[in-house]
Amino acid sequence: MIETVKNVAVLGSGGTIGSLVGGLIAQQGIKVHFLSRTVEGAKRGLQRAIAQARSEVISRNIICGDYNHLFEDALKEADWIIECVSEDLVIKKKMYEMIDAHKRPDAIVSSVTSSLPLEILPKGRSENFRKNFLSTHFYNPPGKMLACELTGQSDTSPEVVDFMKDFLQHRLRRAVIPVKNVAGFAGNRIAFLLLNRITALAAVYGAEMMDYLIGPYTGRQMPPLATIDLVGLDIHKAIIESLYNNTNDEMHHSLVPPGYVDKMIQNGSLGNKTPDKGGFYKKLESGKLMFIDPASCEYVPAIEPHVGFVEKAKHLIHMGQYRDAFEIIKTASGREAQIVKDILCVYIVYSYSRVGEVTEPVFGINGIDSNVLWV
Amino acid sequence: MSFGFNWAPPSLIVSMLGGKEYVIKLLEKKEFEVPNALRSADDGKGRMPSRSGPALRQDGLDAGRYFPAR
Repeated sequence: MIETVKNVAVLGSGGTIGSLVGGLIAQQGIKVHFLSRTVEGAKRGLQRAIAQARSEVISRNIICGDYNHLFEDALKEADWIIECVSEDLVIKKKMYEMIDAHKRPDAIVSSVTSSLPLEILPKGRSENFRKNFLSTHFYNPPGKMLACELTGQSDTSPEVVDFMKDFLQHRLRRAVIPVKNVAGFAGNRIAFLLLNRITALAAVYGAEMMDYLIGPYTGRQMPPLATIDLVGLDIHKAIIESLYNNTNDEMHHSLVPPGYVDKMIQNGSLGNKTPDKGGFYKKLESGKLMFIDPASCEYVPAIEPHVGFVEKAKHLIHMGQYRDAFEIIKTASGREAQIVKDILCVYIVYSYSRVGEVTEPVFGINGIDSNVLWV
Repeated sequence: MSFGFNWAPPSLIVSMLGGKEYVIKLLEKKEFEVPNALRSADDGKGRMPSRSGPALRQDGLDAGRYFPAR
């Protein structure tokens, strides 16, 4: 068992979460190997890490390389190996085989996945690998969101979990959330179910209307469908499918994406990462904002909805009168008000119903609360 | 990964709606099954939002962080 972390290897450092987590670690003066399929990919990750830190100084602690040339040397040194490769079981298992062959016996290995079942990831690996393998699920972007879900699988040594908890809390300043080893852990389990329900409602009421009704005034920094655009529709679908396949609860039926989302993915409309093709939103070169029409999968101009109770509630929020704003929501009537109240009810019911299932019962609702906070 | 789920925590929504008794009645009216964890929770009325203080303080969540004026 290692005593401290002096060297880290990030596998998949060309991706967003790998590069940003690697950057955070380098900011603490720890040497980090950024490994990717190509050295160019690792260097793109380095640039992202520098942008997050707003300082090029961290690059002194980062060494970029590709798997063919730097993998063995990096793993010989690494106290902690962070796997951030594609959310694909075959790719991950291949990577674990390589890690198992080259890692030091005392090195800890963690995955940042929350959508693939943690229990099956290290299957077939050595006893030493399984003992030192766990999940460190950093929230994205880690520079702004401090939460990190932490859990082991059935073979993980409790000392390894305790060591990582202490390191994450005290060295990386994370708000560590101990979660149970269940698909999606707590944050994704609750949030993606709610997001998917809203995609289904958008098929009936329109994408723009749903993001207007369930907008920031209902308690979120970003409207729900805009959040899916940020995540990527392909990733959203992959997480929903994983939750569908690996969970079974009273709202299981809500984990089926509506048909138009499949069509958008087939069309390449994946969200922010495909600006030319759009997502739920599409911004034209002129700056004009368009929204997907779920019925036709064509983009239509914004209609800029205006619903009385929403406008009143938003005004009261702006004035800092939060409870008054919720009184407006509570007393509002009509179809739009029912949609807002239904979504709030689903959020409450689903969250409280997961107490004890995704977090330890002793934490009560606080264990769930911690997963959605921006701390 | 989780992406920017900086949402108002569920217990704060319960509080903002007026506390657990109101919410239980609302859920029953809408024919949702009321979770046991909600029935056994504190009343939720004491969690007054404030504009200052650390976000994770359980006795005074900063509502200004979760209800942006947009």
